Amino acid sequence: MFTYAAHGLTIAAPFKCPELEPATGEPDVRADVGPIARPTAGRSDYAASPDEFFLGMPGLGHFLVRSGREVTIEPAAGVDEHTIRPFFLGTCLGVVLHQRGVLALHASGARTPHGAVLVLGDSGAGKSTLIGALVRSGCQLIADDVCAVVPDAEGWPHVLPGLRRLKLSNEAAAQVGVSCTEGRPISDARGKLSFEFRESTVREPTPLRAMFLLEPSNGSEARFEPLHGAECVWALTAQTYRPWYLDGLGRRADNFRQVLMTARVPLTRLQRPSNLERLDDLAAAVLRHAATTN
Amino acid sequence: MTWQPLCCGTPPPPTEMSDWPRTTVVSREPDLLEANVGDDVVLLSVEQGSYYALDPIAAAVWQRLAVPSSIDDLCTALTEQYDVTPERCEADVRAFLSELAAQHLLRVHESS
Repeated sequence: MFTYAAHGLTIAAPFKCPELEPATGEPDVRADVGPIARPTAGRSDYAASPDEFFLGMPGLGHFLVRSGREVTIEPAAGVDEHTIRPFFLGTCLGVVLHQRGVLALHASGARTPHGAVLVLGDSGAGKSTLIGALVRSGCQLIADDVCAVVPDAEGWPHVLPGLRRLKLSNEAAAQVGVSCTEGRPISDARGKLSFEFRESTVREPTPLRAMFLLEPSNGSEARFEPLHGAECVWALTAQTYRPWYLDGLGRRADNFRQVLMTARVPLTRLQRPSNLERLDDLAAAVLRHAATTN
Repeated sequence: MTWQPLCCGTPPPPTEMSDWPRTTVVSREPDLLEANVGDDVVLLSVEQGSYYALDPIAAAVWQRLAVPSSIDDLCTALTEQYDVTPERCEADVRAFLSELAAQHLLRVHESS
């Protein structure tokens, strides 16, 4: 077993996960490779209840997540650990967080001098690229793709350290200034590479300072539009990690309360220009915005 | 999951709500989660997996619907609370109640 720390949890994995911070101690979550019993009723590829989540992906394998504590992975024939690992790190750990009552957002985050900045958005919006630009300008990486958010004793949202890597396309990697030869291809077929960070990462919870809902646009300038009230609740709900599993897991009401807690932090829609060469300007504008917003 | 903004004053979908007598007693579905967020109220029906956003006036009507009230009582109270003509108020309230009914958020009781 290989032991790591991510999302406030100690995780024992059945294979090496270079994207995770090594750790010691008793695991909160144990993941194993092994056979999984198929559902006897209903769909053959998906079943969810409050304590048990089952998912089958054709040609890839099956996954079982129980009570936020146990993960079983059954790879399909010929599927190696490198191919299956992204689904363990993404979907399985995301479901672990849902089952443990922790808000998981589809976002990447960086620690700035003013606190944590999260970039939320649909796949392909450019979240990792923008966070990469912030890291290049001196910020530290908190998490990529999945961000766990928990309240402190006063109810203020804090972001927990997660995957310490960024998924970047070749072009984005060049702009962020990371050497492409350091990137490993990811098997989720989106043509991206995974760049691991060993330095410039955060190891403890960071108070959340600002959130940006990133959207690509055809404009030549970045546009910042603060969101208010109900719009924030909807945006955070829609950008919850794998929100379509919430009802099956019986976590819809929990998610509502967690989103309300997180909505105390300013959320701004950011329409970014498609020109990657302006990336450093965009990162600087995000930092200025995060510093002044309240 | 769905997201539906509900305003007071939206044109009503064709239901018989506009023909309902003013004595009709209505109240809201009790099992929704509710939160104030800024100036808005957000509702969540866990059963349906749907969310609703109420603007301040819709939120005021929603609050009154916690207790069964006749359409007449609702309109009277709102006409006093807001600077609006009785006719406009009744039209908007009926439109809002129609919208709630269409979303299965409204209970209709025996007329008082």
